[in-house]
Amino acid sequence: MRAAGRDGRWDADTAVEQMYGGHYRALVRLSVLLVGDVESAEEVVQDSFVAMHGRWAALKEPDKALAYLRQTVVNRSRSLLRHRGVRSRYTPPAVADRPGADEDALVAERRQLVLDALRRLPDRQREVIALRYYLDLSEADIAETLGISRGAVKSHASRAAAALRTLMEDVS
Amino acid sequence: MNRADDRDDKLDGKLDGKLDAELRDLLRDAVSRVEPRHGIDAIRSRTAAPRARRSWAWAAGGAVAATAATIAAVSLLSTGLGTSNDVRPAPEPTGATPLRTVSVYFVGDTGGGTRLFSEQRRVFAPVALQEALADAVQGVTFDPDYTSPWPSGEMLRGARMRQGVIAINLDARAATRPQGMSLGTAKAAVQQLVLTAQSATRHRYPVRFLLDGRPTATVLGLRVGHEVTGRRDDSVLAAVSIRSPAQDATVGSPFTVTGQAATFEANVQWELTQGDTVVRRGFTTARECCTLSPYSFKVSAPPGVYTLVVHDEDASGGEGVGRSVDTKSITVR
Repeated sequence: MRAAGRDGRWDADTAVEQMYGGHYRALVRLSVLLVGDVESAEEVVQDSFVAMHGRWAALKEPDKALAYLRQTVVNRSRSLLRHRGVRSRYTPPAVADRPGADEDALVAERRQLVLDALRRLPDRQREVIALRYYLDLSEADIAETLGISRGAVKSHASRAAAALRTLMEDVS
Repeated sequence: MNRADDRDDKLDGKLDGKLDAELRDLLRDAVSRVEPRHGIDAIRSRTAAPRARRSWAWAAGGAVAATAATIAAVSLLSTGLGTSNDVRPAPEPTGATPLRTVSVYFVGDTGGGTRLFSEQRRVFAPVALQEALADAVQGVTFDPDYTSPWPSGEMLRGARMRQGVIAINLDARAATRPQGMSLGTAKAAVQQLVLTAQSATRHRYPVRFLLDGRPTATVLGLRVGHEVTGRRDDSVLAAVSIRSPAQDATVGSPFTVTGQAATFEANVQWELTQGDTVVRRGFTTARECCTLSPYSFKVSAPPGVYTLVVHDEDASGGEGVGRSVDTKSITVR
């Protein structure tokens, strides 16, 4: 690997830079799917990188670090939602596309509809859906990331897919 | 709805390719225009702590420890509040992100003085010791009745397990007992870290305390000697405590309450209350009398938000609860 230390491993600073380069944007987008707004998502992901830095000596490997980042981003996103209190009363600022001539208003509206629909799902369903369809994680990886059984992943996935199906019929 | 439900068994990657593909497209598209601001500088400025704090050996200090605490806290909430599918603890994962269920101890008031109560949480296994101790020292509790006896979350500098000994490194200020801390609380504080560390490492190894990396014979003004062993009797642990449900848990009905108690004739009394109203009450007995032993009972209640109160017998024979009590806020769905 690049920028390795004497023993061929990254130090914590290098690990943060490397992981940032490869995964920051995707993790922020993942968190946007969970919390609904970019500013909160950035905060969640930055906190997660700081946490990863502190644990690098235990993680040591990029794969483990990525798994840790994912888990931390999901947990912190959920924590943030809880801090907002009654979620149904909180309307996060819309994830506004930069207004541009090429941006179809209908497309922007559809994107917001998807985020709104996700926000109405129970926490676990939303998380399973985001990890499955955005990050393409396997059922086993989702189970590990969320600390739940594979059976639970399956049932959350099917319920969430059923709920979102209704939405898709409206927008697709 | 039903059509999707019928496909439960095929959800692992193979289901209805069309539905999968559509969901994938929709989700990706929903965030496709999200371009985060450049965040690396903000991250770097926070990870560029003083060099001394960086070494792995004592990597639990400062902001990083606070982060750990939050993650750990969230892990428990997620097991405590999930749907019925989640309530059963998942098997210990064996892959890249092993989670470990640990007991973190806190102090609480009982009729007998300051005693320890524990809360379960799932933490990232490679750093379970550091995360559990950080929560303990910083008082990251779910139950508002519990707290940390330590004067500051900064007191913990780090911890590690090596060759049959758990070493806990504290700030040098931890040598003396802060003004206003009782002897009993100091003793509880030391045992709090010992029991938490033993749970986190899954080894009942003795604990050696260090101050700023150097051996010490004194912690919080107590002589701790070379090593401290964990004590699990009712001189240290609360005489009555609830293990599950956890604080703020959502449960079905009926639900099972478990915990441990050391009470006269093993009697354990309980109430389920809403405000001043007692909705249900009952009693049970712990497995053994007069020493800490497990109890368990079932409660049925209509949906609602309740306070579960478990306590020993009211020795006064009059009003109010007994000398040792634990409470949890729970939701029955």
